[in-house]
Amino acid sequence: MSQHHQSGHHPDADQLNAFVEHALPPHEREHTLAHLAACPACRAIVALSLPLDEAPAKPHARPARKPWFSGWNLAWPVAAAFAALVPLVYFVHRSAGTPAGPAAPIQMAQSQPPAAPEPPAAAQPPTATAPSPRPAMEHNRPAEPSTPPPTAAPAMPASPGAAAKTPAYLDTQDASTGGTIENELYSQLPLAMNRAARNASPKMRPGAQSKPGSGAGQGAGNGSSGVYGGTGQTNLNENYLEAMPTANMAASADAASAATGAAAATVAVTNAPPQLETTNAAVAELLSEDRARTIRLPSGLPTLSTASSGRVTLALDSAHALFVSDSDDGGRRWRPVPAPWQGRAVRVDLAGHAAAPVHMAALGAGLARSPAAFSPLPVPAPAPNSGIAGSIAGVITDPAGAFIPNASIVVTDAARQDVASARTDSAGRYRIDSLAPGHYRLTAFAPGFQRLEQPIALEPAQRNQVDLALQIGADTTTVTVTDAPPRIDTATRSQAANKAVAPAVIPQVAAMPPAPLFEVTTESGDRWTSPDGQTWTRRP
Amino acid sequence: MEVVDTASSQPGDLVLTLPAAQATPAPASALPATLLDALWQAAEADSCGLTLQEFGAVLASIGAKFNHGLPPGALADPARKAAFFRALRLPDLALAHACALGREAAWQRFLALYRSALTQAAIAIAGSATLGHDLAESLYAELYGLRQRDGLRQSPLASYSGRGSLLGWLRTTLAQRHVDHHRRTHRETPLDNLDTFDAPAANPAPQPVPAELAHLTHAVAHTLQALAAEDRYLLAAYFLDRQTLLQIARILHVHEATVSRRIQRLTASLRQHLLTTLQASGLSRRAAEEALGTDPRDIEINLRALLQTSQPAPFSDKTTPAPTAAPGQP
Repeated sequence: MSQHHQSGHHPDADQLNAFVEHALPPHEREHTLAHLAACPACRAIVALSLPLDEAPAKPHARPARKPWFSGWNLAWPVAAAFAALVPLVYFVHRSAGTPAGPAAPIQMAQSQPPAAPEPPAAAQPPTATAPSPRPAMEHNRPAEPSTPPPTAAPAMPASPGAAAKTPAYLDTQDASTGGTIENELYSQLPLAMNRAARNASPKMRPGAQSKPGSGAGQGAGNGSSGVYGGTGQTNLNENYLEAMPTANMAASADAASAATGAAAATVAVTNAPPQLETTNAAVAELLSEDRARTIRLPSGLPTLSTASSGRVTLALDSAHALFVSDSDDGGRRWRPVPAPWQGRAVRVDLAGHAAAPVHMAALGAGLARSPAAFSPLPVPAPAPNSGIAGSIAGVITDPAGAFIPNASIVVTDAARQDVASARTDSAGRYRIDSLAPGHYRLTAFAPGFQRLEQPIALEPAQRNQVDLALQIGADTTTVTVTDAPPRIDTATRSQAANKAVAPAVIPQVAAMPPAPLFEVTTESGDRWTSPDGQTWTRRP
Repeated sequence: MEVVDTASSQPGDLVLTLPAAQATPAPASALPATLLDALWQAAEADSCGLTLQEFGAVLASIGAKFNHGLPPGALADPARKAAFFRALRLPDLALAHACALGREAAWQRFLALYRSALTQAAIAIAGSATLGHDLAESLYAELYGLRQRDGLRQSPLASYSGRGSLLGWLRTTLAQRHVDHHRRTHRETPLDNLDTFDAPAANPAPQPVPAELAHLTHAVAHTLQALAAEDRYLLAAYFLDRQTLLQIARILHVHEATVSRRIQRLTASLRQHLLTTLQASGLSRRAAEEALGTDPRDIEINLRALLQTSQPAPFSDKTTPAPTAAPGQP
């Protein structure tokens, strides 16, 4: 037995427990420590009596449910969402800033009330070109201000002798193809040009006019051939074409055909000069605006000013250096333009923004192909009282005998070139006058019906009654617009001036707009112009 | 102070030392009535079935045993007495003494409060569920007072003074009983030999010790005896018992880093003090350093015996003044 474990020499459990729990007074603690230092058994007891865990684990209290919005738990997701939203809003805002606008149809041409007294209304048969309001399209058409009556356009006077008195219209056709313009063609036109064309409508000159309530007088002014020729497109969509009232002239232009010659335009214009101000400036501005967003100049600087004629684009960077780009490369390659002027160029623009009226006929493909052939020659009006013109009239019905309003009727000659066209009115009636004697092919079609063709032999001064019943079929929409209501009383043949115009005349009905001139304005106010962006001449 | 062996009936058992005052309880009138009533109310002694007088007698005996927390010989004023009594764990004290008196209500409360904790503590101490349950059950029987002396039940709960918690007292009692059990079952083998200390075998034929080693042995014994009690406890617990720093820190209520620093500083000061002692005994510094570099296996020094017998006075001699600060200690 160890000598250290004799009775009476060890602290009891109460003493050791008080020592472990630090409850002993100092003198007792010192005494106990002295014993513990010498007594391994008591040290063992003290070591064993220690609680298992000095700091017992707290029971896992169920954490109080915190409100979902408390703290910063959602701060980071909200911040991330906000950070992602800011660029999105900015992008949307930028996108909304582009002139998408309503589906404002292109103001192609303005019909002009005939200067000559109209024939009696009773005597005027309801033709396919009678005004037929299209409420469905009214909401798409911007409110057009009432404009004063147009003045006679010097560039497109009537034929000698009956220049302004005899309202005449011309049925022109593209001599090259003679095909009708259909929506399939227009559906291929890019949206950018649609926008450009829509923007053209505010550029109407005060002389432009549309018939109140008729929705007529809309056309697309093909400004410079450079613009449209460069892009090779004209913007006419189906809606617009359908919106073309049957009463007035309608113009359809296809610059694509001008570039490729694959399409044709059936243009019916009056002898009144088209009152459209050229829209090339607007289009060019739009192009410039669109391109400015994506222009990457060699200098790497942002663009200060841009101007585009469609074929050539000039850009002025923030260092006042001028660059030119052709349309061939899509605006990807830019060449610096040596500046002949002194000082810094502050702006580049298209000269003659508002001074280059483009006639409707200029939209013709032939015009675009050979602009030099055009000259502001007067358009020969149909020979009045020729006594040989015939007419075609009739009613278009469906298989059940119901009238088909707004059906299109196109008259083509033996060469399958469009000669005339018309639309049926609400009663399904149409009428095409001033047809030269000969063999024609009458084609009628309407959306939802099959195309129907019928050959017609027109004798001089004959009025043919051709009633057609269309069969329900594929939805084919042929856009053929006509001009002002017919002014020929076939009964009296008093308006013999209304006659078909040979296709060869088409190039002469419009004046070629002057080539666009780029204009650079320096900081001293000097103006330099250039047709191609390369050679510059100082403008006096 | 009289030492009374009240628990151990066997020669080798650990004993509980109870003051003589417990045998002759102090009268309850030693405490002011208001203080006694307040303490009685705070202890909820009534719920344990302990009367005011019984509770007063318990308090008086505890106050007299520990001199109200003052060193022996000091006189406690009423305020000191009141502070001492109020610092006690009165509810545990009332419960323990009510159980010692065999009050059923107290036992029900005791079982409800401490049965589970006592069993878990016993299992933890014994290191086995079976041994733990046995240890706990045996302690229950002992606490209930199955052991009688002079026809009276003797319950260890009567020795609870209330200075520590009753649960801690129960754990300590369990540890004590476990050590007693271990010692009974290993009666022929002292606990010292169970340690990992590999003491050199006794040389049947002692060789003459060189003078340097004799000086070294004397210096070690003198240095260890001069250490403070806490320092000796640190050395014994860390080097002899192989207790961890955390265990020592929990016992001393300091951080284990503090224990580590104190042990490191203590060993350094011991070396310095040994050098000083060796030089004081006539050795040169080089000879003293060479003596410190002696292989411990060549030294006939029982460090365990030196360290653990450096305080020959028994624990019960509380009048022994505390040793002076160890050399090298601030």
